Amino acid sequence: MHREYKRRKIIIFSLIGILFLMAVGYSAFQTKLNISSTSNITSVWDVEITNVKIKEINGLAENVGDLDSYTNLEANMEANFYEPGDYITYTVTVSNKGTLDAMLDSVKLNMPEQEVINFKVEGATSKEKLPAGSSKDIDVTMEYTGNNPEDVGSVEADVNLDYVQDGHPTEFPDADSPEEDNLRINDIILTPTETSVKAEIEAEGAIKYYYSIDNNTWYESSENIYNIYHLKPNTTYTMYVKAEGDNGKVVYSSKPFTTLDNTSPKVNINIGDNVKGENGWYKGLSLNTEVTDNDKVKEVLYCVGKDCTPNKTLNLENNKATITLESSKDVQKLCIKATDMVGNVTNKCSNEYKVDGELPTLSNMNIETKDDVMEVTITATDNESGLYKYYYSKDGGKTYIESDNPNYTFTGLDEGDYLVTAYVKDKAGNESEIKAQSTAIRYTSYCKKNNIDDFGDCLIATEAQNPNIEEAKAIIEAKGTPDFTKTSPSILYDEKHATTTSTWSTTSTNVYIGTGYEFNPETGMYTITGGSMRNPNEIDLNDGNTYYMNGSTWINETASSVYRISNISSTTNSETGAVTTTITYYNYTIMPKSYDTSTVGMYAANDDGENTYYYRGSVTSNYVKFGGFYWRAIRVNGDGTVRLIYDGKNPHANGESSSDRQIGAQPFNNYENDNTYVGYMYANPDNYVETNSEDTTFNNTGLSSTAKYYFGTSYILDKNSRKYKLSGDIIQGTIAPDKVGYYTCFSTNKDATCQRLFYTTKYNSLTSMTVSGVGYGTTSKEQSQSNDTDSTVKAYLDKWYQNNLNNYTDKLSKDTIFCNNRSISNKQSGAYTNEGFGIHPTIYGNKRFQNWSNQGILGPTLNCPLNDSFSVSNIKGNGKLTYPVGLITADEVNMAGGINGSANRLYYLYTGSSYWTMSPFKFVDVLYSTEGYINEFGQLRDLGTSISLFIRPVINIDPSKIDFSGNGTMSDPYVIS
Amino acid sequence: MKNKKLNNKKKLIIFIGILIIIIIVVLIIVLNNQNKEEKIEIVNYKDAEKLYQTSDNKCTDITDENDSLLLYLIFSNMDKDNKLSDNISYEEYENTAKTILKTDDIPAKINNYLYDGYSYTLNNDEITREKSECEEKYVSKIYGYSNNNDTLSLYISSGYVKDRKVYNLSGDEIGDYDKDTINKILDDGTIKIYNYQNKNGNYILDNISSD
Repeated sequence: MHREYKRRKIIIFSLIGILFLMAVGYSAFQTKLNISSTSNITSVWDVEITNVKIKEINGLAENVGDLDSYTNLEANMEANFYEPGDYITYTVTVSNKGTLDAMLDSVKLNMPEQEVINFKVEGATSKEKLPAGSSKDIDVTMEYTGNNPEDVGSVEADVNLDYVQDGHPTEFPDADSPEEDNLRINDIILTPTETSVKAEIEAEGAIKYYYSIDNNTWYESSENIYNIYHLKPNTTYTMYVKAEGDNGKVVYSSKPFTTLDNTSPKVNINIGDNVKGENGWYKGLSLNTEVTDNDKVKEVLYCVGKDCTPNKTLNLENNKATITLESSKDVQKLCIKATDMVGNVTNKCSNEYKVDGELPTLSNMNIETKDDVMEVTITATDNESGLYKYYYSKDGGKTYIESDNPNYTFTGLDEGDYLVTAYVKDKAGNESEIKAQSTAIRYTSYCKKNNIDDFGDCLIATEAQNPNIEEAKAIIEAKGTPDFTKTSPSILYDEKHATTTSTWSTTSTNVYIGTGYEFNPETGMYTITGGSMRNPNEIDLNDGNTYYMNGSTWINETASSVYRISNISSTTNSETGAVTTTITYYNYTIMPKSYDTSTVGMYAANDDGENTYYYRGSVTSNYVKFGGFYWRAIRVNGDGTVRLIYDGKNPHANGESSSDRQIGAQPFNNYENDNTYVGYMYANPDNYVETNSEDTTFNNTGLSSTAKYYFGTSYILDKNSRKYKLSGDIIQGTIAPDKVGYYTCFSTNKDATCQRLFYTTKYNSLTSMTVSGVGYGTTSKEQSQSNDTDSTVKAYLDKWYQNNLNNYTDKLSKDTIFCNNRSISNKQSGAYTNEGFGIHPTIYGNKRFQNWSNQGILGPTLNCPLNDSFSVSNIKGNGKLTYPVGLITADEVNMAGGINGSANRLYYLYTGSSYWTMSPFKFVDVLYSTEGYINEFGQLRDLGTSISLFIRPVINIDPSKIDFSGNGTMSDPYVIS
Repeated sequence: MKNKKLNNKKKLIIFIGILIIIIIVVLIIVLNNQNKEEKIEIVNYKDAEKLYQTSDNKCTDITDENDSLLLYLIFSNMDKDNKLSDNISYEEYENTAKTILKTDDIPAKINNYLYDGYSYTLNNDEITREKSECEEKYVSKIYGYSNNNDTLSLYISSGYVKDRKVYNLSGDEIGDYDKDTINKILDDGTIKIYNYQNKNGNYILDNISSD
C-alpha cells in the first residue's frame, strides 16, 4: 500500500514537470511567430452633384443662369428679381455614385447682396448620411426682401457641398468664396452648455458675422464670437453661420452640436390623501410623487418597504403619480429612482411612515360570573400596528372602561341582567367591531331566600327584586309599555369611515350629490344634505366644499352608507360617445356603537283581561330546566301559569347560534293554496269545492323573462293531493301576449303538479301577467277557520310531546291557551279584500307588525278569539288540543324584542335559525298562505306555510303542581320537579 | 459481502430515520415557540379586593388632592391594624407607609387629612387627630380590575355625599343617596386607576391614574 502511494506521487510530480516544460516551450515559440500577408482593397469615392433644376418661382423672379453649369460638388445659380417677395427655389441633386457611404459635413454658400436677398438652404442637414448608390435633393431659395429691385438686378449664388466618408471624424472643411479668396470660414468652434451655445467663427477677410440656430432668424455681430441662449438640454441643433466681407459678399456654413445635460431628474414626494391615526400611525396614506427633468425622464422605478430597492415601473401622468401605502406592521417608505435620457439618475426616498387601516379582530369574549363578580376575557388579534387598548362595558356600551389587558373583572355587582360589550383598539386607533354578550348576576336563589314557592311569583319577585309580590307587580307595571317598533336591546350605531378609497362608475349624466350629511345613530342611516341631481364632471372638488353621494343616480337622500368623494374622472367611448364617470370615494358605513338595554327585563301587559308579565330583550335570568330539556321563560301568563319555549338539550347563551335550540324542521302546513291553511288546525278537506276568482284578478309579477313556462287550455285537479296538472292543448314559451287565456302553474316542467293554478287574462311585461286564480278549498270564513284537521306542525309537535313530555303532563296547564289568532285585519291594500276564505287575499296579523302600505303598525296583542285559542280543556280555550303543547306567537316575539325591520341577535329568542310562530300573517294575492316566523337574524317575518322551518315547542307550567330550585341563570337555571 | 451490504442498508435507514426524527422535533419546538403566548393568570377577585379597603365611615377624604389617595391607603391599613389613635408616632406612620407603598418616598405632609371622622395633622414627629364633622362624606367602591402577569390595575369609583345627594369628584350629581342603591350609583362615580407592579407575588402601588 505504501509503495503504491509513493508511485502515485512520482506520477503526479512528473505530470506537473511536463506541464511546466510545455508552458515554457510554448512561450519561446510564440515570440518567434510572425504572420505576414498582403491584400488589395478596391473602393470608389464618388459623390457629386448630378442635377440642378428650378423647383418653384414666385412673383416675377426668373432664372437667368445655366442650370447645367454645376461641377462636381459645386453649383452656380443666377436669378433676376423685380419686386419684393420675388423668390426662386432650385433643387440641387447630389448622388453618391461610389461604393463608400458618405456624410454631409458642411454646406458652403456664396451669398452676395446679403442685405436684400434672403438665402435659405433646406434639405441639407449636417451629418446626414448619403449611403452609396443613393441621391439627395437640396433646395436653395433666393428671395428678394429689399424695396428697390434695381438695387439688385441679377443675383448669383454658389453652393458647395462637403462630404466626408461616413464613420470618419469630421474635419471642418473651410468655406470660402470662390470669387473672393480672401473671404473664407475656416472653422466653427462650438461650446455648448445645457441651455446655450457659444459659437466662434474662425474666418478670413470677414468684417461681419451672422449666427442662426434655425437657418431663418439671424443674429448679426461684428464679433466672431456669439452666444445663443434658451436652448433645450440634450438636444441636437445645427449652428448656421455666415461671414461677410467688406465688399458685401457672404460665405455660409453650418455645423451640428448637441447641448449638454448634467442635471439629474428632480423627485418630489409629498403626503397626499391621508387619514391620521394615533401614536404616529396613519390609517390610510397616499404619497404624491412628481418627477421632472430639464430634458425628459426616461424611466422611473419605485418600491415601497422598510428597506427596498426601486424595481417596479412607476407610470407618470403629467409627471405625477400617487402611491397608496398598504397596511403593514413595519415602517414603510417610498423610494424612487428616476433616470433621464442621458442616464443622469436621482434616488430619493420619502420619510418613513407607519400605516394600518385594518381593523383589529375581536374573535371571542368569555364571561364568567361568581357571586357579585363578573370576569370578562377576550381574544383579539391585530397583525399590523398591534393591539393597544381594550374596552369593556357592563351596561351595553353606555360607559366603557379602558384597560391595557385582555381581561377585566367587574366587582361588586348588583343582582340583575348585564349586557357586556367589549372592543379593542390597535395602536393606529382602529377599533374592532363590538362584541356583545348578556349575562346575569344572581347571588343565591332569591325566591328560596324569601320563601317564595310559586314559580310565577318567583319570576316576578326576582325581576323586581322585591319579595312582596303585589309590590313587585306594581314595580313592573309602572315601567309601562316599551316601544314595540324597536328591538330590545336596541342598537345605537356609529359612523365607520373607510381609510382607503373605492371607485364607483356610472354612465348616467346626473348623480345625487350633496355638500354634507347627517347621521342618525338610532337608525344607522345617513341623510345627504345640500343635495341635488348634478353632473359630477361639472363639480370642482377644490372649491372648498366636501361632496357626498350614496351611489344613487336618482334622488335618494337616505341610505345606510354615504360616499365622500375624493376624485372624479370620466372617459368617453370613441365609438358611441358615451361618457363613463368614475368617482373615487371614501365609504362611510355603520357599526354598532352601543346597545340600549333600557327596555331589557320584565314588562306587564294585558292577557285576555288579566295581567301577564313577560320577558323582553337580552334577559339572562329566565333559564329553566324541565323534562330533561332547557327552556326559556317567555312570560307569566294572565292565569298565573308560566309559558316556556324549548331551548335545547344544553343551555345556550343569548346570541348563540345553535341547531340544538330547535327540535326539527317541518312546514307549518303541507298546503298553502287556501286561507284555511293559516290555521293550526284547518277545515275538513272533504268539504272543499272548486272555485276560481273569476273577475278578481291580480298581477303576478317577478316572473322570469327567459324561462319557458308551460300553459294549457284546461287542467286536472287531484283532490287527494289538492294539486293541479295542465291538460288540453299545452304550449310552452316565455311570457308573451300570446300566453293570455291559458291555465298555468308558471312551471317549466310539462308534467309538474302545483297547488297554485292561475288563469292568464292579460300580458303586462316580460316578467308580469295579470291572472285570476283557481282554487279548491273553503267557501266561507267560518269553514276556513274550522278546526277539523291537524296542521303539519301540530301533528309533528304532538308526536314529539308524546315521545318526550308525556310523563310530565301533570305539571302542565291544560287550560292555558295557545293563540292561533286568525282575526282579520280591517286594513286593506290592493287585492286584499279580507274575506278570509278560499283564495281571497286576506290580511291577518301582518298589520300588527309591519308598516305595510304606510298604514301604520298596530302592535302586538294577547287577546285571542275563542275559536283560535287552542287548549286541551275547554275552560279558556277551544279544547281542540290533545297535548298541552304549541308554538310561540308573533305577538310574544314582538313583545320580547323582535321586530320586522331589524335584526336582533341578542334577545333571548334568537337561535341563529328560522323557526315558526303560530300567528297567521296573510293569504297572499298570488295564492299562498303565510305564517309568522323568526328568521336567522332574529327578525320577525312571514313565509309561505308549505316551507319547512324549525320548530320550538312551547308549554305552560302550572306553578301549583311543581317544585323548583335554582336562580334562573344559565349556570344555575330554575329546575322544575 | 451480502451481509455487509445489508448492514450498510440498515445503517442508512437508521440514519435517515434519526434525521427525520430530529427534523420533526426541531419543527415541533419551533412551532410550539411560535404559538406560545404568555398565558395571563387572572388575579382572584378576593386578592384584588384586599388591595383596597373601603371605609365604612364616609367622613374620609378620598379625593386625589394632597396625596389623599395615598394617605387613604396608609390610614386604612393602620386602621385595619388598630394603629389609629389620638397620637401616632411618625415612625409608626412611616413604617406602615413604607410597607404599603414599598418606597421611601412617602407622603410627608399631613395637614387636616380626613379619615374615619377624624382630622389628622402631622406636627414634628407626631400625628395628632381631632374629631371632625364632614359636610361632604366620601364614598367609593372597587369598580373592577384588570391584570397581566406583571401589573394589576384596580379601578376605584368614588364620589361624595352631600345633603343626601351623591356627586362624583367633579361635582356632578349622580343620584340620591340610599344605602341600598349607592353601589349602583357609584357606577357613575369618578374612576381612579391604582396601578400595581407584581413583585414576586406582592403587588406594589406604582402610580395612580385617571380613567
